[in-house]
Amino acid sequence: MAWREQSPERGSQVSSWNPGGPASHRESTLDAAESRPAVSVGEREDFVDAPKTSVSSISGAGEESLTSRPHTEHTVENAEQNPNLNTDSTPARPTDDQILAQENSIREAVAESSPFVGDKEPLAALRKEYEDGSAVFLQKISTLEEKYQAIRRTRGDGNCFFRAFIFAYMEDLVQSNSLQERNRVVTCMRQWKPRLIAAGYQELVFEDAQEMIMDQLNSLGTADPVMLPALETNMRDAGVSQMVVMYLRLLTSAELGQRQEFFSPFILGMFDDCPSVDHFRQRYVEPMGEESDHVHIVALTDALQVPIRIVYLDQSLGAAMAGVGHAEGAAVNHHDFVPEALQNATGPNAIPKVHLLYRPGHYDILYPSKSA
Amino acid sequence: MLLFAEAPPGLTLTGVLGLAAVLYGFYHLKAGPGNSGQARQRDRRQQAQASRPPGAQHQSESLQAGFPQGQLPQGTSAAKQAVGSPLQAQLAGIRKVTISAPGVLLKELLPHELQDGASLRPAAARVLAEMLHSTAVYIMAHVSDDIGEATVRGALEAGGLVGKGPGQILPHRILFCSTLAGKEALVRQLEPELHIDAHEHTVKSLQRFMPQLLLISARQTASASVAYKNVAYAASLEAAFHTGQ
Amino acid sequence: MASKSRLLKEARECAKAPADLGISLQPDERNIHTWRGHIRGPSGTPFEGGTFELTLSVPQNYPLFPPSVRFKTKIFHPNVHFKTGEICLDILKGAWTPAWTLLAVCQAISALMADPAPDSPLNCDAGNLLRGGDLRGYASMARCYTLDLASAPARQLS
Repeated sequence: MAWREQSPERGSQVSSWNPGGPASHRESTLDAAESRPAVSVGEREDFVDAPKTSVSSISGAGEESLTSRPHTEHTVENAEQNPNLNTDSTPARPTDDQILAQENSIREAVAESSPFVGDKEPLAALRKEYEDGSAVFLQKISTLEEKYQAIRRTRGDGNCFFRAFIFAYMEDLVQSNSLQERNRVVTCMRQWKPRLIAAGYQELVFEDAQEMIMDQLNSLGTADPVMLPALETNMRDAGVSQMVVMYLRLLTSAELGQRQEFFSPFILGMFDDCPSVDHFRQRYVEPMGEESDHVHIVALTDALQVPIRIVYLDQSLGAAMAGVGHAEGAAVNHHDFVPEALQNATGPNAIPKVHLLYRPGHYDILYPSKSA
Repeated sequence: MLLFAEAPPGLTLTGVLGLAAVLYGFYHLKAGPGNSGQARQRDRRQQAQASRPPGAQHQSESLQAGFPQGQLPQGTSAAKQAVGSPLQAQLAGIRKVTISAPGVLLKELLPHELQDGASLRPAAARVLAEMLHSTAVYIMAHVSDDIGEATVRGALEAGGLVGKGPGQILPHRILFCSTLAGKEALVRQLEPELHIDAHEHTVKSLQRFMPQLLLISARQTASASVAYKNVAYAASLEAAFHTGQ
Repeated sequence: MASKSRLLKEARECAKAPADLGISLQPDERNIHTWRGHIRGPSGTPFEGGTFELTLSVPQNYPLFPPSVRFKTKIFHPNVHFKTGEICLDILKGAWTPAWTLLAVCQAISALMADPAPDSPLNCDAGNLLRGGDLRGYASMARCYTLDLASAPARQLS
């Protein structure tokens, strides 16, 4: 399995709490103050090296400090809410619960402006986005237009790879009514159940989600198969869509866990703060909203034995890999993630039917032109 | 109320506690059930005035007995109370006291001194026993190791101070630490109204955070550096608290 | 409501939890989004012999978002705010994943009791004692509170 040299950038991260299992934490909190509303009781000046909290994209990866004076000895500067102040002045800071709630509501507000999975649009919609953009980009889009005819956007919530993947995969199954492939993947998922349990996940955690996918898959070929509109409705429903993403994250994580030796060099090499595969799984795979990297893609495609193609649309010049295009600058690179078992296979199984467009921090679904 | 021969700078313990008593007493005086309690208080005050050395006259006037009959500080057990006892009055408004045992309850001051044994000061022990009737008390000791812990416990137990009975302290409320800074952390966690210690260093460190402190020191006058408004000084626990015995 | 069916399943699992786990957990009869837990103080820690009550508030979008958990019984521990009972635990914040269950959260809290992390504490005094290497002081204070506040006969693991 070849690894692309150029790796997608991690976009803005959700809150990156210091990892390390139950004993790890970086927290700070304020009591209801006594005499001064800005002062937190119970915190000590001994902690000059103040607690570090990296809150999410709202305040950037800042460091928040907390000290306080329980008595009137010192004055407290009340005014500026500068969370990056690392001195003994700390205005009243919201609790972490409040911050998280704020993050969530902002994320939801942003997200609610776009559905989990959008409508299928002609590729011209993509071009329109970059009307005022660089010539390189527009050239790339021209190149893209030679091979692809449509795009379906997904919500940029850190779950887009998983969501785009499963929707595109199921859409293809539904449209083509490939019962053979359906049977294969259903068996695969059934076999995953004991593997997930062996990996330490409780059945009650994933069985509902698994059922949601299986029900739809099993309906194909029956008198009442799920059709595209229903698929869209289901995957736009928060209850279903999020559970499905969660399930795919568990599969990805379990796959990593079961092939630690294979994955560990990539993980330890790419992520400075991950001392182990387990840590990577808990920190970057299982939590909702964590963006997907090469490792995620390899693990999931291996877990379900589904090949996919990722098309990269970014500012890079030059074609490091075989790509579609003319001049170097206009080359649009892609990479096929093909599970090993399928790599030497001939026949339709090895050819990716899921095509995803990657732009830094985000994945959307692409539809090949008929002629391609 | 016995005070120093020379009034030290700043308020004495009596003055500090007296202030608390004033506030506490004033609050309750209005709701006082009758005059008899107040009369008894007045008599006692006059008696105290008579035995007081000159120069400290003004201090006693700031002490106003604050206990009309039947009204006791929170956390006291009414049954065993000597109603209107001087110590009780001194502890008016004080719900919790922390005491660093070395140098206060014990003759030994430093951890290494406790290795060979610990000797309880009888008069201090009597004060403690009476305190335990009316206030929540936590005792702590900075020790080097398990031996030090054992000697301290042993001395307190030998003095009959440990147990569930009145005038006794529950064993788990005798706290130990292995660092001086740790002792400060214990006091700050407990948030007592009054902390009693024989270490000037500890008192200085805690001064900012505690309502009242009492430094037990052989020196009659505290060094200028330790002169704080909320710190009182006494040569011994029994000097600071008159138990009426 | 996805959370409700999941919570019902969890309630069944909790009812089956073995006694030696030292954790009992059940939802409020009238509101399945409010749970009450009891954790037995882990043996070999100053909390041994105590029983600590927790309240868990489960959001509507659980398990996508974590429950809000706090100690109802007061406890002296660097990662627990003494007065509010707030717990500093990464899985309750950014490290939450839907793979956790309420019972697993309680297990993690029990592990935290046995394995405090004194940096960036919610209880500075506890944190300072540990950071200063004063295990004697930490254990002494923690045990004192355990006996004073977490050992009432009424608080028994059912």
